[in-house]
Amino acid sequence: MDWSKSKSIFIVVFLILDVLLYSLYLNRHAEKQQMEALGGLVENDIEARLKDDNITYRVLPNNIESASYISGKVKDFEEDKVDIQNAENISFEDKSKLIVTLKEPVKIPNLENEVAFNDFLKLNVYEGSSYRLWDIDYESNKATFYQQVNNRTIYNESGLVTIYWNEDNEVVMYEQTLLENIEAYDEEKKILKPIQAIYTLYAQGLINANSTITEMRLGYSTLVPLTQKQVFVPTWEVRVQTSENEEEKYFVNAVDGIEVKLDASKVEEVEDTIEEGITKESKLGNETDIEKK
Amino acid sequence: MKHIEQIKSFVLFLLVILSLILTFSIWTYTPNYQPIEGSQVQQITVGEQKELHEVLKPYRILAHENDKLLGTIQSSQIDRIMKTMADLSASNLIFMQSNLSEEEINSAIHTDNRMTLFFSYEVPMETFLSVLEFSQNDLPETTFSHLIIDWSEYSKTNSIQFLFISEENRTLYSTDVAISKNNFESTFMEVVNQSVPYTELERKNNLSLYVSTNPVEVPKFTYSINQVSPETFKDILFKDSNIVQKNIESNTSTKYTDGMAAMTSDASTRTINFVYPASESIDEIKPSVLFQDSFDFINDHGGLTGDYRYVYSNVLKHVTEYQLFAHDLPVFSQITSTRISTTWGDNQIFQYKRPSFILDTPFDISNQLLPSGAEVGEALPSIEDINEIVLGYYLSQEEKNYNFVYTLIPSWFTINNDGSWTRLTTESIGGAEYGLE
Repeated sequence: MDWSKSKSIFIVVFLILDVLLYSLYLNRHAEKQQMEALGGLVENDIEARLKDDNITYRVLPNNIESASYISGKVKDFEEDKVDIQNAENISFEDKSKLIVTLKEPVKIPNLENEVAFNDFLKLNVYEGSSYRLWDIDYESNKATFYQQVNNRTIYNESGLVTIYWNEDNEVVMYEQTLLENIEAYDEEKKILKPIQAIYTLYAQGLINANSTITEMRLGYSTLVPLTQKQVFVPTWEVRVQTSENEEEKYFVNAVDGIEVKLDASKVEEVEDTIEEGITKESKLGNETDIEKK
Repeated sequence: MKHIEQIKSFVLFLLVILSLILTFSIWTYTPNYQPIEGSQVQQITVGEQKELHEVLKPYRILAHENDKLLGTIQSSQIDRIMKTMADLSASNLIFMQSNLSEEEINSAIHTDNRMTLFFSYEVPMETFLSVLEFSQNDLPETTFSHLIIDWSEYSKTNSIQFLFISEENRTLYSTDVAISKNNFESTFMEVVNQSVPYTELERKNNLSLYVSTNPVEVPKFTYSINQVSPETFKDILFKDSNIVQKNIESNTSTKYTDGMAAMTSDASTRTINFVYPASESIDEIKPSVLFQDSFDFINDHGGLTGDYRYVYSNVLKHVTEYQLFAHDLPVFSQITSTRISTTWGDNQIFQYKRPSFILDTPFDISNQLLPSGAEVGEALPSIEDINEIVLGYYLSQEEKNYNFVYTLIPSWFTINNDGSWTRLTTESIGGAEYGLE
């Protein structure tokens, strides 16, 4: 009857309405996906560009999304004495650097083996287990270790151990600096994806064609190293193997995406610029008495 | 056919429910966008923001009228001209000459019916657009250090000629500017009337020096000073001031760092030095862009805390400097800095050096009589190797016990060719004669 007819009309009307609503809903969804894709698109683009230049990389650590800044204090070894065994002579440089000559040299059983070095540090160096092997220089018989916090390396001269050995592979001397009171700031910062860090270097022409990214690790660095209390920025360490088979190390600030130059000469340069401002105040004038002619 | 009505009812019911669900889901749908970080809306300021033309001021106006050389350094007169200029519009800028010799520049300045504005350093033409309007949109990338205003043709054409001379590039550009009689009289003629006699000190193969002919009476000021706390600068300059660590290096020196940048505050000299090493850049940059970047950076936090005027730039090194002026005169000091200096980096500041004190209120004023510039010029052993002789203030701490008190002592200074200054103490230039201490 009438009610039946109106029911039919209602069904048609609601059908149309629902189709409309559903398409609206789909639209919203598509928008969101587009927004998300934007980020991904850039990433794909980077990958494509790197591929064009035959820059390859192994598995990147893609599970780290945020990290916090940390701060630490340079330990004053001269003031704050530590007990060191097997030492013939202990001296200090700038209060914070400990230089120890061993009474009885300690043999490193296998110079090719990282573990042997780490064992030496654990047994012979104060807080030795918090350092991680960075570089072995077979030509000048020395190895360097950077301090670590939560398994992340602090690429900094203020948390560094350098050991020296003689021809019999016996460690005779080491130097040490140490950061203490290391604290993480509460606020976690969103950090750059590894591929973006690679791109930062690539865009600056630092990674050449046919290179391989061999390793990426998240660590910490500072560009202002000569203060007592220091702040360290989450930093990507990027190891690159060039087409000539040489290994290069780069660092990228993982928060701001800026390449940071941490090699010693550059750090000194930066310090000079900072010091300059203190010592060389803008062109100071002078006074003269002018004699009457 | 019996169930058809029931099925219809059921379908209708379903459709109604579905439409409700859809409506609801569309309504409540909010995509979880990542919040955009770092958009600090609230900008901390240490002073008032300024207009660009306030730092682009000449330090001297010289006029040549009826064969007399007149000049003034009063801010009120300089402002009068700059203000009028802002309402004028110039025609096209025409290139006239290059390779100007010293003689040509000198004679251009001391031609009758002309006025010259002396700028401390080369001003980029495009920067000057913010002071004077031109009929052409893109000006040549050039600079000028002297602006000569010529009104010799005014009675015929009702317009005056602006000549832009660059001491560094040795170029001359000119443009015509129409101006009403009223405006002309009340600005340019008025400034001429307010000016005092000047003397030209001629030099062989060099630009002449211009100094006042008569002895001048200049007030000496004793100021109590205010200081902008280093903590305020810390909040302004560091990206995230929460992570900044403070290091007290000595009694007077404090260093702040966030791992990427460093700021040193020196309490004894009352200066701040901020460095952001990662942004160092030596990329080529247009002089006008460099100036604008530097000015905007300082002005955004109201950093021009006094009468700071643009006095130096090194485009290759991206350096821009502003000199503190007080009561019309530049202020020089050996105990603190009276200059703001910026070094621009890769799209952001690389180094920012500045005084942190502000001259607050003068509480003691006494007049001092200084010898005439002409006498100073005569007393100097040689005027060949200097850039300029100017009146200025020598900022010092006369009361050692009150370190919040600075004294501005009026003195004559020579500006040397390397930009450094020498204070000419007045004892030997006829001190007794003028009743000085």
